Amino acid sequence: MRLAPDADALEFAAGVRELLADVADPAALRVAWDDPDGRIPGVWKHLAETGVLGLTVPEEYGGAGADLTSLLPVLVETGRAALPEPVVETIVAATLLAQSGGELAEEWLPKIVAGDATVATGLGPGRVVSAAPWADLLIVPDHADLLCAVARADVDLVDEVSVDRGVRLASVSVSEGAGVALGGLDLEGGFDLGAVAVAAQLLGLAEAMLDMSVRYAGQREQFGVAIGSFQAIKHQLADVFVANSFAAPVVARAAWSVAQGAPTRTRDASHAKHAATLAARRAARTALQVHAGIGYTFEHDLHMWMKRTWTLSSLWGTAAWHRERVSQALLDASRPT
Amino acid sequence: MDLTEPAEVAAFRSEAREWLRSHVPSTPLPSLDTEAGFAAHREWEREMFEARWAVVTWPAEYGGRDAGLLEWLAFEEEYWAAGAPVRVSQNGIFLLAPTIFEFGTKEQKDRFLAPMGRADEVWAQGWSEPGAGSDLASLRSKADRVDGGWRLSGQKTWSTRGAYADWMFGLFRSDPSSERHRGLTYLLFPLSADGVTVRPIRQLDGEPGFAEVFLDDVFVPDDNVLGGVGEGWKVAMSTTTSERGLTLRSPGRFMAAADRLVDLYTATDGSDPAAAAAARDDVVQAWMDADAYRLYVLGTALKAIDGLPIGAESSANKLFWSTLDVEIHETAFAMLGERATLEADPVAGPWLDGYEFSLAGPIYAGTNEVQRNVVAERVLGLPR
Repeated sequence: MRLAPDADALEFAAGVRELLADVADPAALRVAWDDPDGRIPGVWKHLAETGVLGLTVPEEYGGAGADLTSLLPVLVETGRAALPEPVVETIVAATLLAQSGGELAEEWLPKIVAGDATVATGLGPGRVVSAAPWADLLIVPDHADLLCAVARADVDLVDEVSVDRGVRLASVSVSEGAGVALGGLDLEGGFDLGAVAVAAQLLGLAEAMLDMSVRYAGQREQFGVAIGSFQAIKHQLADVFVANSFAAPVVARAAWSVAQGAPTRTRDASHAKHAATLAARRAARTALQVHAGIGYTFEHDLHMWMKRTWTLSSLWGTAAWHRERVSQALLDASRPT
Repeated sequence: MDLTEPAEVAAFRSEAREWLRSHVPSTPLPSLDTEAGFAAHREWEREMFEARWAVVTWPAEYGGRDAGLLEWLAFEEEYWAAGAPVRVSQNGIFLLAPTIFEFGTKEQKDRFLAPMGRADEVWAQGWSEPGAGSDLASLRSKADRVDGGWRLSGQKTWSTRGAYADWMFGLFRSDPSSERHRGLTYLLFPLSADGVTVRPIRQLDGEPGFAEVFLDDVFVPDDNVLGGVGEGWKVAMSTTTSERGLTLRSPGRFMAAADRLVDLYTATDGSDPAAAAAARDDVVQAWMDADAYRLYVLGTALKAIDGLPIGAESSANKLFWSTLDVEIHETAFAMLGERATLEADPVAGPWLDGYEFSLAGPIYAGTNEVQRNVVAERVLGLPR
């Protein structure tokens, strides 16, 4: 048995971490935030070359054919870096395209693997489609609410500007007759994949905000000592550590359930998104409180991590929505009728 | 990643389940903290020991099955799911025994382990003192050097199982000039020894679950020093790490309690329907947390199997399970409505017992405030 990622996956993620520290550091992030396009130039191509975008794409389309458990540590790293690139959306789209097969898959999957295409997906309870303004192709509900693949030129996009400038959100409507209908796909499976992938990013964000806070608390002095020596600070940060530590195995198990198509997949995925959301939200609140005045500025980096936490906690189902899904699996299933 | 239970663990699990199904008492035993209940729990331990289910992780020569950590976790899940009694020999088998295996001489292993496993000798803890609680290193009970051994004097308190136990393990200051963590020695002695006075203390539930132990010139032979003279702190820390971490609080217990909580919600008998409906989110949160604890401990066990160190993580573990246990029971309390405090109620009574017991969790084995300091300083590296 093994709950930790395989050694290969960890090594791969360590490489991605180094890459992102190099090409997507906080300074690059700031530039992207101020840029109308909102992406960091070149990073998407780097991710493709490293093999991130093709990792879970079947080998017949030029990918590595791995499953979510191999990608998980990389997703944590993209969260840790608060990376403004549509990794999750594209991974989910690639999975659905591979399922659909045919010309659509032949056309788009090699482009995804090569970093030549960005695909947005709109699954799940919400209507806002993340990464839609960046997308070459969208996989979204059509006018009759059936899933279709549609080029961006064939949809009406209304930008929805988020306080998190590292994402691009839009409301999307598909006019009658546009798009290619995608039938027979495991949409719930695709949604669960996205929810767990985002949960992994939330874990990375939570770890990054804890690290920032510990560093700051060790440096910032008040009353003649580092504020990290005060129990009031220590106990809050210890609670963040505990929440992060206990969310991580829940997310890992969910990745396994998604990869295996386990009977508990839906419940496990929702548990993961719920636990990671709560942990990251706690980490964000605590980080702000520990940084205090400087954390409440636009100049300090913290706000970019905090706002990404807000966005990711809202997308792919809120914590309350996921808790309710666990409730239904757990309570309603066993309730005698 | 691979979360498939290995075949040998699954086989061990079904063997345990079979045995428990036919042997777990069909009606709950009386409270462990009454004389009759203590005797009944002792009898249950003997029955388990004879069938070699009492101490599955111990070597076969001492009555165990040489079970690995995964088998142990499976056994614990089955044990608590079967509704089996709480373990009267817990202090001994889970806290002292790992220390004896690590630091004990061959003679000590032969002398103490089998009677501990059979519950012929039930052990009490001798850590806290009136002036040394969370700050254990400030303890003042003394061990004075005499010919052939030591003479103990002082007072221990909050000794779990102390009212009815047979033996005590504890820490004593053997070097009078020493301070704090130095100059302490780990000693084992019978509570029937001359000079020992046990005064039971009624716990929150009104039963004498722990005791004060007064020591007046109690002789302990050299054979009963565990680990080296003056090495007591190091030896004791191996015990408290077990207590905080993996061994005492097996996930099976919380998972079983969380499953019962779900049953209390889904079955309408026993709980107040309106109160239960209002507690829906809390029920699910408690169940998810129990599940998270199960996964976390599994991850820790797998790390240990790979030979990786398990250190101050045990403090994070203790913070989580003790909070979880209270959370489970407070949710049950809320669902039981006006019946929640009725001791004799067949549904509410056991939940009330569990609630009172859970409230001790954030206090014993190092208060949760101390554990947060440990996490902050030793894991996160914040300044002292």
